[in-house]
Amino acid sequence: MKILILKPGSYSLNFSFYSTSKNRSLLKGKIENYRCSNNDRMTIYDTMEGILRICLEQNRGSIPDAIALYGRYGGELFTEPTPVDEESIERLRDLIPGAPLQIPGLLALIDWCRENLPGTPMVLLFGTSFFTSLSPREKLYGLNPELAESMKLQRSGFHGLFHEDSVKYVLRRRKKELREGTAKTLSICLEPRPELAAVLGKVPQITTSGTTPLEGLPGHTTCGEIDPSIALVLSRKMGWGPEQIDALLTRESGLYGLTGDRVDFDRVFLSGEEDCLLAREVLQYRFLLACGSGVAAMSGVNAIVFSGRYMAAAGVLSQWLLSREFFQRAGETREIDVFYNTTPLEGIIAGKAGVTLLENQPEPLLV
Amino acid sequence: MNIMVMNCGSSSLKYKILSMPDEMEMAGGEAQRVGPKTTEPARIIHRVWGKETTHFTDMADHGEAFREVMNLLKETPELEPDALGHRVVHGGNRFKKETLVDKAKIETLEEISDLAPLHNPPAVSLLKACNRMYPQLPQSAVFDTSFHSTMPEYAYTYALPGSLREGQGIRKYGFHGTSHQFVVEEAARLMNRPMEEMNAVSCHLGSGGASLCAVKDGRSVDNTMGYSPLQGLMMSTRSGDLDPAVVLRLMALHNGDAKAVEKKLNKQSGVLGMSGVSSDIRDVFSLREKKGTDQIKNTASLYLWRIRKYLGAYLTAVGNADAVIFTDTIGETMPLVRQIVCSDMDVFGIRLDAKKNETAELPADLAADDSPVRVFAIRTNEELAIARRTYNLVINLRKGVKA
Repeated sequence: MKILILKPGSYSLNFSFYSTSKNRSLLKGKIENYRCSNNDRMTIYDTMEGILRICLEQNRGSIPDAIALYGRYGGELFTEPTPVDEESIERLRDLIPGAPLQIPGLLALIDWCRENLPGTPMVLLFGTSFFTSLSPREKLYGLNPELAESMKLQRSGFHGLFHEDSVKYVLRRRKKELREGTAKTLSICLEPRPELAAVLGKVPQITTSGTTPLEGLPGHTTCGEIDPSIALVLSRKMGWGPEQIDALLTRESGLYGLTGDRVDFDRVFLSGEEDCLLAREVLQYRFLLACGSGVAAMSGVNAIVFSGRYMAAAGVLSQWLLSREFFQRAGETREIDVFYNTTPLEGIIAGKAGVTLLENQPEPLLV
Repeated sequence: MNIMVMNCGSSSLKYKILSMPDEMEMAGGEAQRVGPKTTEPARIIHRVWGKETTHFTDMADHGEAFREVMNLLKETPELEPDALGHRVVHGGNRFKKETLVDKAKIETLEEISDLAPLHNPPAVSLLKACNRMYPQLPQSAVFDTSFHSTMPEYAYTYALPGSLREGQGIRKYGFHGTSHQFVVEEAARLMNRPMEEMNAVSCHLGSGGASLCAVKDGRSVDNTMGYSPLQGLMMSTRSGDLDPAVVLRLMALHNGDAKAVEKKLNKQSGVLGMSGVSSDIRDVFSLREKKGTDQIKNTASLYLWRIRKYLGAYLTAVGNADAVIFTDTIGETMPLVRQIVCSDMDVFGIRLDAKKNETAELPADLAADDSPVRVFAIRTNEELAIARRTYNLVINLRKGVKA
């Protein structure tokens, strides 16, 4: 099966043409400065026609077997990969208040695909689905519940597909030692907006992210955890409005803010550059704290698994974590395994989309 | 030597007179409703040797409140102070430890007032008034932030641009330092260990504010509060940790009115905002016992969960903890909180003795005999801590030792 994977972001559209039989992307790319909303239909048309043209050229003129649409935010309404139909489109519309930029973009892409690739099955996958089972104590904020509910202010994880796949990866390798349901896994996803989840069995107990991926661990350009009053101080002292502060916290902070340079995790952890030293120390420490919270949440730890695109950094970070006194001591009484799940997001998406379509089609798609 | 310790609230002035070095509390009280007139009359509740009296008098500001208190103290000559010790919430980067204050230092404190706009200005105004009225009395300022001045750079740094970190002093400062230091010193004394060798996590759980502090080799290495006291645990009316994007959404909701959001997050959130019934977590636990609503149950479980997560984080950061210490109103008086927070924490070497936790008199070691990490409940005494530091400063001043 060949699946066209579309991953719309705030400013770009990633696409991949993935062959499940070859387990790799036949081609992939990224459209920058992309605006995906109902007001930008011309942009979407141009962009998608370009992507489809490339796919057709690479696929000897045959259209994709399926389309997988990946969004970070699926709210509480999408707990698993979901085929696109009238009912799921309605549910998507209900999510607009919680993700006013992302959901209209997904709807516009669905419109385009229905018009231009009629009959091609589509699947929606969300980074938040894995976290819909989070307990209230983890997902709520210390805010008035009516206010939080009306503004959809609750915590979630956004790299659920990585974490879910990583936990399966760990369970496959530790099945002799770990009974399902009791394995205590710290899953660390090293993407430009990194995230840690503590997973008991297959159920997430904590996530470092919040209502958005801005909370938690610092990213390439995102600030991560800061005192909530800082945004207010910037408004009071500098006279900045919410949009200006948002731009600073999401695009000028994180590793960029700490180093003054556009660096990624691999460079920070591996280069040894003096300018990266503080960023590395801050990150290591934040990861250590997040691990400690996860261990407390699960009352223990059996395995740490890394996923995401920065595996070289993961190697250095894991060594540093395991050399900490706590992990040294914990490792004396119980073995803590470290795994590296190198499956790319496209592979995870394609696998899940394929399974979803097979499960939901009356006729088998593939023989 | 009589030391008068003062703790300024926005509309109150709490005080205690302690005889030092024997650490005996002789008098104390609180001037209430300081400032503009309110529906109820301003008053001073004054206590001498345990006997309480109430005096009604208008007090336009903290200086006047101080003058009235001094007038009351003059009625009992042996109570007149020899030195004054002030609790000041924020010392910023300029004051890394307690100090005797003079006019220049008061000016410096004024310069950093915007770091704690709700807390520092009344303390500075009181320092000025005391300096004016009793210039002969040595005055110290003891900062909530100073114990945390030993935090390493990687712990106090936010991942923000250098222009904000260096230019605007935006970093983690930490608070409740006087209390954290006091109870860790007490724990060290109970364990017969030098403070310099103590590794611990101190849980200051007040009925209002609350924070955890990671201590390595007797020095603070992290605190859950940050640039302001808003960060960290959920508190009585403060939200604690929030996604910065949530703050921005609230600002947009209030048409960019940062003050309105500040009020919402500091005064109308936390236990009060979540439960909708009380800002006191004890009320919430009590309602939960009586089969409370989901709102009540969620408030109680979120409160405990945040403490537990931070406890795990700090125990991991400390690495080889000797003790976990619970203090202040909730930490001292709520065995249920200690029990839930410490349950199933064997991986960190914590085993609580259920019976001791319920019945022991403070200060107490509540850990099971075989627990590698000791668990203490210790009554905090910030006034005594301030008096001790003020006393040492004054003694050094008299000896000619430079601070």
